[in-house]
Amino acid sequence: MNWAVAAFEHTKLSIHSSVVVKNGKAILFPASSGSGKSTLATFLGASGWQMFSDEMALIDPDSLNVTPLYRPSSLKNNAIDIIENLCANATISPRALNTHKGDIAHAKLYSPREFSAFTPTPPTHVIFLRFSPKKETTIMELTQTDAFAMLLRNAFNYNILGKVGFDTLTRVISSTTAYHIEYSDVHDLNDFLCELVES
Amino acid sequence: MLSRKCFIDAYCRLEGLELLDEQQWDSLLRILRAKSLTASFYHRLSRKGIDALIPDYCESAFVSAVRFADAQAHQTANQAKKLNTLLKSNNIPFIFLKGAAYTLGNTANGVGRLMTDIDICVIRDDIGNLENALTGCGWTFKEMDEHDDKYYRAWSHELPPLKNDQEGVVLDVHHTLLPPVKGRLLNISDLLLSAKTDAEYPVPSKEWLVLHSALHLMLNEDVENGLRDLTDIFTLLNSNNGFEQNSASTAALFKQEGFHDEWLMLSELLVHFFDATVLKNKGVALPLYCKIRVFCLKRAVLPKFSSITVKFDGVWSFINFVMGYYSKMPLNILAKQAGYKCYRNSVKLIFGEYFFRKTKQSKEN
Repeated sequence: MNWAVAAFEHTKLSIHSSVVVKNGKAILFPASSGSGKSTLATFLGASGWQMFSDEMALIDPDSLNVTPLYRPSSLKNNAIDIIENLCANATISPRALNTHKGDIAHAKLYSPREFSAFTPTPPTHVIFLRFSPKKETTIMELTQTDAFAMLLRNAFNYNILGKVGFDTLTRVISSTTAYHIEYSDVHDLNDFLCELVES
Repeated sequence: MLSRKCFIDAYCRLEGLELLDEQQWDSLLRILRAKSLTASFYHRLSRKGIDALIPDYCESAFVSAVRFADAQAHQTANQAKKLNTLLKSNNIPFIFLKGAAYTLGNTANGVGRLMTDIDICVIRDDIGNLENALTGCGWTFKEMDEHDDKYYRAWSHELPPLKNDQEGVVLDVHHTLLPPVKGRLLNISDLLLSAKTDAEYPVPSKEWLVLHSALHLMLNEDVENGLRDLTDIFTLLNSNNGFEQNSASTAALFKQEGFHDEWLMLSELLVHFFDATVLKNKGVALPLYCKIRVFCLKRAVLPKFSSITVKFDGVWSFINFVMGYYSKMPLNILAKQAGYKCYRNSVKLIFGEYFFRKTKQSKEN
């Protein structure tokens, strides 16, 4: 399903990124596959945030709002156990074992009624994450140039949208603050993210 | 449910669209998407001034498809520019064919039309120079086994496909429009000369574009994109000078190149799908072989979609496959080719998909 959206939806700029929302502010976590996007987004989604997507940020070129996607998050291998332990309120599907991506399970956080309260939201922060076990959390603000280059690497359809893609990406970078964060504790990270959207 | 008649009316004739319900639009969109026809269909509606009939709930799918097609056309123009420069600097006359020719020639059917590769045609004597020029600029031949390489070089009308990994493009180089082993030769110099001299890119005349597309459809076993080919042809014949005049000049070219029966078969297909009344049989009887082929083609080109296909369509498609193969290859080569493919597929079925690749690698090591 995610592939179908990425391959055929070109009315919006699509970025390989999870998205969470709180206080009417969206935070994007752009990253490639296997980087822990889904794990973190699911944890945050079960911890008071609205999980808009664990996989893809669809950004409207006119309003810059990110569209919520009603999909379960896709968890792989160790992430399944992590979410089972951290998020008691998530409904987790039976595991599909030994697929080409390893063991897979899906986590559902919201009922259709709960999801219907989600509305398109403008992004305020773009955060590039790196999970480093046992390390202290470090936070570095990125320049717009670096953030643009890093976001571009995660855009699915930037080339297809052409000038619209460039303009949209430029406006996203101009209207958000970007960070690179190295973390080992999701609770610690959650505290920082809450501070960002409360300020 | 989108019936066969409903589909032909909606897709081919652009009629009855206002009567389609949500489920039928959904089916139509699935077919268009599967066949990469979404953007071109949108433009056809637009040219007829009825694009407003697209319901709101599927409009974004059409807009997305149009954006994708626009991006591909842009990329095609960039690649064409590079090829043009390269071949001109090596004094190799050439002409673009099929999808690239439609896009670069700004023909009506080229708008929104997708392609998987760029096709060009050169004089056979220039093949060696062309290979040197391309391989010297980052183009490499797609990997294939000895048999397939021989298939292309000895029997087919084109070289094995070339790819440029850096640019992400595949190039098909033709030296004629039909496999020469069948003995039906076309005058490729005429094809090259049909290009407008003042055009930015060398592109065949409308008549040659139709002839090539028709041969690709009728003297071929693969009709997976048959409906797209027919749409191309109908749109080409319908443009500029008008259908009647275009079809008269095109019919003359078919006759001149020895493809009169193919023109008659094509006319039947255009009447059947597009209601091209101008081409309705004017007392010319089709030979039995052609009648059978047209009967099969009418069924084989339709999308394999549950509500559209009916009983025995598979049988007619298979007969079309055999007739199509036979029409492009002599029986002895066809038997050799079929035997070889059968052997390879059987081995793959028993020992796995990558058996031949592994065997080749171990030999090389």
